[in-house]
Amino acid sequence: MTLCRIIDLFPSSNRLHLIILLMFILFLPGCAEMREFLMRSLPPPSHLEEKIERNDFFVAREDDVIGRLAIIRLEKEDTLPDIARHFSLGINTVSAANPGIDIWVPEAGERILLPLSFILPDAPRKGIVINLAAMRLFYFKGDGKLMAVSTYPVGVGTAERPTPRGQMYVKRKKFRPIWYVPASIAEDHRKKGDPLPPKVPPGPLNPLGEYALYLSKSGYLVHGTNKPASIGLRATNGCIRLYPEDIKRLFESTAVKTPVNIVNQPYLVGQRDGIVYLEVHAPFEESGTTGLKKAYVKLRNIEKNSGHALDWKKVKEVVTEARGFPVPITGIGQGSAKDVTKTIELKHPDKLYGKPEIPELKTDAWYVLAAILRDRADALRLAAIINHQGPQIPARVLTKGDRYRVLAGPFNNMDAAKDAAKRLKIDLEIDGVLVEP
Amino acid sequence: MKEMHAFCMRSITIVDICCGVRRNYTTAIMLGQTEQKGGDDIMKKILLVISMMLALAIAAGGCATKGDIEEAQAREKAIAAKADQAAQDAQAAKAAADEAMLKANEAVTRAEETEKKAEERARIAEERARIAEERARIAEEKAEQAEKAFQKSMKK
Repeated sequence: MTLCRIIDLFPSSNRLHLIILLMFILFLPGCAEMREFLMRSLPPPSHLEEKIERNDFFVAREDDVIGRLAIIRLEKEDTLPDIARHFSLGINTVSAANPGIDIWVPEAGERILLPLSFILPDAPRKGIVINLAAMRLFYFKGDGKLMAVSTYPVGVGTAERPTPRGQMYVKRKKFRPIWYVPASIAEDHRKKGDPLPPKVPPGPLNPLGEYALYLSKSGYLVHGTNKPASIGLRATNGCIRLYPEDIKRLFESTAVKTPVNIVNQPYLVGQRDGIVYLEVHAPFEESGTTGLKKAYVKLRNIEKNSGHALDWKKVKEVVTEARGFPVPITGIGQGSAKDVTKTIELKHPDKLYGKPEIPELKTDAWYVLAAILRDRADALRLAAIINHQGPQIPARVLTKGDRYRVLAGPFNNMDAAKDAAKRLKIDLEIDGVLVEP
Repeated sequence: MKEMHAFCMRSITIVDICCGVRRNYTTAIMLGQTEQKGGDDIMKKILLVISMMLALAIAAGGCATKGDIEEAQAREKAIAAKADQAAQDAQAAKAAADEAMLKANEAVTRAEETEKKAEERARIAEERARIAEERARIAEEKAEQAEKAFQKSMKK
């Protein structure tokens, strides 16, 4: 009734005007310019996914590929290590999947590929399997037609102190482990002018983090870390490191005696829904080319047995690029596009999990002037690197004239500031200057 | 009648003489008459008169009239005017050609300058590209160094 009354208020000529106006408004979204304007002014479209599987998957016995690829648009002050950690990826895979993107100072608005799809290692699907080349741990549960698999990125041993390969098992578990410093590491630290105590108690300075799974191979552990940015790097003394949040989950779900198989497979071949995939990681320098030859043999066998030709040009391309995620290599005409799992676009989270927070500047605090630089990007990079130290050293860039000052702090007292300056010197070879309150 | 005939015959002879044909003697033979001295004098006088008249007529005929002179003068003037015009045209054409040549030279100079400037710009662009490349290389090196330092710092 009310609506009728409102309409009646308009004389017939005005009604015609109203109809014309309404039609005009209805036509506006059809206009390309208007559509663009609307796209710009409106919040991101609702088709952007908010969540994606990161760690837990199911896999059919005949399949080898899990997960799906995703894309995310970077925002101001994002760094690739922060993105990597939020999506439970190692920095190695994020940077390999996005060549040419600055790890520490990427452009806001840039679209980043999140390689959240993985080919399972060519190993029995039982217990924990760690692929060193992919820097990823897979934990298989169940043995039916459909298996559950949890996967986490890891940090592994350096070329000098590599992670041992082979079959072992979880000997014991320890919450809040004490780190008994091995003699070789103690010697290294002594040489650097950073002598370590014989044992480091649980806490922020303990590199084992809060949880540890001691392996049957003596001296090697799967543990957490106080340097989360090292996940996806060859930075350990042979141990396997996980993000603190990942080791917690693994620790809780892993029983003592769980088998652990450590392999090194940079070339992974797998199938899902009849599509053949190839995933290549940059092989370790000491690895040789055996893995590649094996992968080619496997591919030829698949081609022979299936009777379908593979796209060998694509194979070559994938091997050369080594971007660390599964790429379909089935020849043209075999399998349909819909069979290839679609890449989804993710909404940028409001807050990235684990991103280092920088406390507000305080006038009564101590600071360390880490560097004065001419280049803004250099300054931002250095501040980001300092921020991602473990434990974190908060750092920011302050602009003065045409110079950029990288300032670490605030620190509550002189000792904390001195300690930070010492760490900057030992770990990053930075001669910081103490700034008094 | 005889005299008349003789006069006619003589006239014919005179006319023939005037025409430069020596038929008087033949004509005289044809007439079969002997010329007398008195007749010759008259004849001479007549010839003289006729010759004078002819000469006068010829002279009068060869003499231009005023109209002819005016016409000739007009023609002369027209030709002179045309000649002047042609000379002016030629001069103008020459001036235009000179100007065109000048402009062409200027254009060539400008083109050369433009080419020089373009070359200079290309050189500067190349130099800038080289500097940018060098800067990018340095930036990349710095980033690599920073990354190495970071990775080192991530060890236990």
